[in-house]
Amino acid sequence: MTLRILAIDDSLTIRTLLRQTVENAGFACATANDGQDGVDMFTEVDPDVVITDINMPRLDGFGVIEAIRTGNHNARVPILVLSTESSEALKARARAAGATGWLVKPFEDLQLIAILRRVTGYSGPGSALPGKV
Amino acid sequence: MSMSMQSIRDTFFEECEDLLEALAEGLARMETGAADGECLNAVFRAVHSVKGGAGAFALSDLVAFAHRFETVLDEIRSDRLSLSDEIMHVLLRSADHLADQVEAARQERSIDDGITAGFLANLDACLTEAGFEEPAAEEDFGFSAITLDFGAVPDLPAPDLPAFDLSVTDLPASGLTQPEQVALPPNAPADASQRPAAAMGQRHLIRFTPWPQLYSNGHDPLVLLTSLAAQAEVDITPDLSTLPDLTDFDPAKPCVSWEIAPSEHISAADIDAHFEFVRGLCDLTITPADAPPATLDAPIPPLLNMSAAPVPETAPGDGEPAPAAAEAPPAPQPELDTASENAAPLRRRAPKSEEDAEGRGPKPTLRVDLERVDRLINAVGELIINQAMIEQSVTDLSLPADTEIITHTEDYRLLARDLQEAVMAIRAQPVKPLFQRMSRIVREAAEATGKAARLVTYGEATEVDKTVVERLADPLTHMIRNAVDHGLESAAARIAAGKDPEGTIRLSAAHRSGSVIITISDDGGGLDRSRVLAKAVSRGLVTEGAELADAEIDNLLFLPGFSTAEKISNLSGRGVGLDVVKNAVGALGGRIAISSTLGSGTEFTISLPLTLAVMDGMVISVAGQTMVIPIASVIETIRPSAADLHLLGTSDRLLAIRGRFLPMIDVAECLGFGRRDPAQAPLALLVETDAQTHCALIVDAVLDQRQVVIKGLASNYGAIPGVSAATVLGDGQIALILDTEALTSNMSGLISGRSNAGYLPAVAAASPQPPSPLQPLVTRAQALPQPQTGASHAIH
Repeated sequence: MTLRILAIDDSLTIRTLLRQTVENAGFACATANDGQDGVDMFTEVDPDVVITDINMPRLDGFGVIEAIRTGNHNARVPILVLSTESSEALKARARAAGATGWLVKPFEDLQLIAILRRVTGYSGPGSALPGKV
Repeated sequence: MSMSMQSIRDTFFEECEDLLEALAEGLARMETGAADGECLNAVFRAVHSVKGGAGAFALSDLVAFAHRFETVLDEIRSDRLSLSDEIMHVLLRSADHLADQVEAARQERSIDDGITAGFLANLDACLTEAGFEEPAAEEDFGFSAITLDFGAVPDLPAPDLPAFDLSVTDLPASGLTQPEQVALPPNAPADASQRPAAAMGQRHLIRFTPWPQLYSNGHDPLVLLTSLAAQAEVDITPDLSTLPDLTDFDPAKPCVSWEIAPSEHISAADIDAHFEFVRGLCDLTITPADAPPATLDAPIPPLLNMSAAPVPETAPGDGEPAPAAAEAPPAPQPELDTASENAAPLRRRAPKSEEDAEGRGPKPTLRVDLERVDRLINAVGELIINQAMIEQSVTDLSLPADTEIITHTEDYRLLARDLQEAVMAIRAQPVKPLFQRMSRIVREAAEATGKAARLVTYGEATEVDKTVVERLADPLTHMIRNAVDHGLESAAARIAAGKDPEGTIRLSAAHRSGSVIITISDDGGGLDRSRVLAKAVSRGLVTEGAELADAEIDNLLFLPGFSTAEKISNLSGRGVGLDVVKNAVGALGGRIAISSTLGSGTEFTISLPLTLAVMDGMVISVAGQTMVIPIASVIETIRPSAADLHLLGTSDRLLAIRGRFLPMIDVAECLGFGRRDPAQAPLALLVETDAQTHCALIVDAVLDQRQVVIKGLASNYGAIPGVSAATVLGDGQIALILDTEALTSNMSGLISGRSNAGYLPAVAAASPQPPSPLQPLVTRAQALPQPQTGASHAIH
């Protein structure tokens, strides 16, 4: 068992970067092209972490967080916002909506992986998650 | 750069093309005042996504400019800045510059800082107008590849706002790299020598009380405590004293806190770091171990109190659990009201999003390497040839019409045609991006000439072969510049003429009977024909005193050497004349025509084939050779009677048809097969010539009309005058595809190499100058009867 990441971003570049970074670390990565796609895929992918952009067509990152947190499935999944924005107001809004953390683009591979491990407690490819409460 | 990074970089630039296109489209809508909120969002997102991607490749100039650009867009989007003409202009020019920056980045060159600074200054002026002040926090925004900042550096006081930024600057210290120590309760203590500060320093007691929002935001106490335990041996004791009576117990409300007693020293800052992500989502007290243990009733003043600015709704025990939470597994359980309440504005927007999802959701697309498509197209081309061969073989068998194989062959032909059309559709692209680029050209040309001009486009959705779209860019650019520079009058002259001081350039595309028609027109003053003629005479392109029809004068513009010599303005006089445009269009198998009305403007019409791979051809026979003429260029087929043929001079003939006299061109002679008896003309194909008059091509017979696959000759044989390409017919025979354009201009003797004197003795004798190849075209036209009145420029 490994970490499953759902990366939601309307930029193909960022999706590709995230996928590569995550897969290089030995994790599994599903990507969604916008917030609505992300929410639609969420139950099926059943990720261990969601990484979402904020500015997206159809449904923005806040909408994604809200939809997941108020859903019936895996509502407590860690959700990381990955955005070029860094305003405190947006961060506060994301946190109020239920975001677990906020990363500023661009990200660095090792840092992203370390953060994914940290928010999940996952301790390495091939080993199981320490279980959830 | 690794291969994969290089490929992601390529992805980024490809994506930028789409984004810049969306940006241009959105700005165009804003310009017309047709922009709604979603359009503004799309424009903002386009710039934003360019910025996001650029950041990943440390393209700092691009990031900085896109950031400023998007800031202005955000001011507009949030109604703090109203969209004046000036600001619209700044936005459009900024989009142009952004495109330049992307292109520069793609080519790994840099744009002069001064240029960018100018655009930035314009954007800043907009922001000043909006009363915008850059928040201090954003000053250091991502201009370098960001090292994610943790928000609080250990040993510094906690910031006012809850730390939320994620970083891993202290991860080694927090022990996540020691996975074997994550189990709870902690494993045997690590070697104390690895922890020099241990044992000597102050020990602390930690009391950790998660708030409901900690759970609802996806944090997990187990993860937090595990991470702590990985660093030091800790005793973790749940405090169950806060458990309510069973009657009051609500499984959806967290009610547990933990006391954590490290058995060795961990600095308060390190502890702080462990709870960094959840600051503001819990009560966390850290007290020296020798102090009395904290209790909920009488908390000891903490060394560090990380519970910042409590949000009222998130206080434990306050608020009802959401229905969703009630169905979820038991405690500790997120209390979800907070999220719901805070997200209320989002929910109001939800219906719009759904509507978008259904109405305007993007069609799924697939990016395919162009090479693969071309391989497919080639294969289909071969298949069509093969199909024609099979059909031919079957026909040769002279089987009864109801024979099965004949039915199958017919099906095969239809399928092959469907397949071919489907494959061609892959290469078809809307002209929209091309047209959008032209609005920039108009802006720049208007700026350079000091004129006011706007571009209006029609038929942007018209699809043309990708190659055509690509290779039209230069000719169109040139013609658009020409239209602004030469076509439009100055604002003063326009006002004097009672026109809108702002000139309009109209660019349109449409499909018409197997061709694509692109027109470029201006509402300027029209061609000054007397000046054009005078110039042509002075260039030696036209014989002094020649009388030309308006259409012929207009067409002088396309002659090589007409416009290149004189530097007309710093904009258009770039050594490229309309002859180059004409050649470019000709190379695509298209034609260009001009029409002009004095006082009201000039229009260029480009007619292009839909695809460069196949065409409908008329299979003809000339001097025993089988050849193909593009059907699109044939207007009419006539079997002339002897009475219709008129001799002109000793060797040239005219064909009289419905009161008009058309020059006759013997294809066999043009191609060097020898002349036929001038009195013989078995079959005449009426085709259109450059000057929109017609002429008659004399051939022996029409054998067939069929779709032919175009096989280029240029790479093997070079350019052959009069022949544009070749094809393979159903019987395996190779047939040349004739270039009617070149054949009709063969009236001038350009192709056959005949002496002009021999061909047109009267004209050559009358000319005082040595005959230039181009002279006879005009002088001959002069000699022809002109049944038309005025300039008839219609494309047939």
